[in-house]
Amino acid sequence: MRYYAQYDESNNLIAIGTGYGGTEITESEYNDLLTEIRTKAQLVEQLYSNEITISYIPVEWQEEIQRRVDERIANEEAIAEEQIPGDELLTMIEEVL
Amino acid sequence: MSYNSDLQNNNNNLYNILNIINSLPSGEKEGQTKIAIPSLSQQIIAPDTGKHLSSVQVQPITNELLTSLDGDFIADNIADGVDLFGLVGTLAGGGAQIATGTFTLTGEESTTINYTVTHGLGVVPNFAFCVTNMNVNNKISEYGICLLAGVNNKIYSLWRGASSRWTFYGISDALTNTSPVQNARIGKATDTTIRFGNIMSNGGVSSYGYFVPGTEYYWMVGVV
Repeated sequence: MRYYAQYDESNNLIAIGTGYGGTEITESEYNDLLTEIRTKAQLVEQLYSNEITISYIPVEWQEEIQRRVDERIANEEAIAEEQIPGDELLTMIEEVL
Repeated sequence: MSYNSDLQNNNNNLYNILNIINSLPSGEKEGQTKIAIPSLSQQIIAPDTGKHLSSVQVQPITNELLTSLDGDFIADNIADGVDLFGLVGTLAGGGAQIATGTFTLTGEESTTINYTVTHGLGVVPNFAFCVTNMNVNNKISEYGICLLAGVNNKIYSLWRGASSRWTFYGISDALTNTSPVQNARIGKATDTTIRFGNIMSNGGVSSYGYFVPGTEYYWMVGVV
């Protein structure tokens, strides 16, 4: 199986995966990155939900985690202002009912 | 007889022997060897003038030789995994061609509404799906995404909502459409890539259904 990591123009890791694409990495590197990605995603979720404070997060990750939380809040504010198409609204209502 | 007389007789005998040798047929001429390389046409291996063939060495048949004789003898034209004369084929299918993989987004990008994977099929797929574990105990992950594309290059988008049931969620234009229609969570496909995602026709971002950072998504595309 081929493992890869994918970076953006600023050399930030944006994804890992299996299959074609990206830069090939070893299985061990893949597993390490997967663990780090999941840990960071969990921290973003916890910080966003006010379950933790920024001081709980390792210093070297604090800036990144805080930035991602800020981006998420900004995105959700943008979404809140967006008009929802009629059929999507209907589907959303159906799911609630 | 004297010693000199004996010596003269011997010389005469040697001279006669030399004449006999010189008068022997051509088959007794100087030998030579030649090398023959198999070809697509009949070959006649003949000795050079004044010589005879003592041996002809025929070169072995190798995949390099066969490729030089016929440019179609390449790995791409041999079934995947089949070894012919030491050349292992890479030609997939003959029927369906399938490519699979996974991806996990870091969330580093400000949006995770779409992601382009490289499938490497070499042809534009006519079906695809992308799915994740729907049982992640996470509010956002409850909105798992499942994309199906198939008949007549239409894309059938299904996903599971918060009510834990599957919802048929629209049919898009062809996979090659650069502007996915509303609610079809899939984008442009090429012969090398396909975009899974959540882009809507109005350019907006759905409030749910986007890829969840840290969650592993499984994809499959193919041609049948």
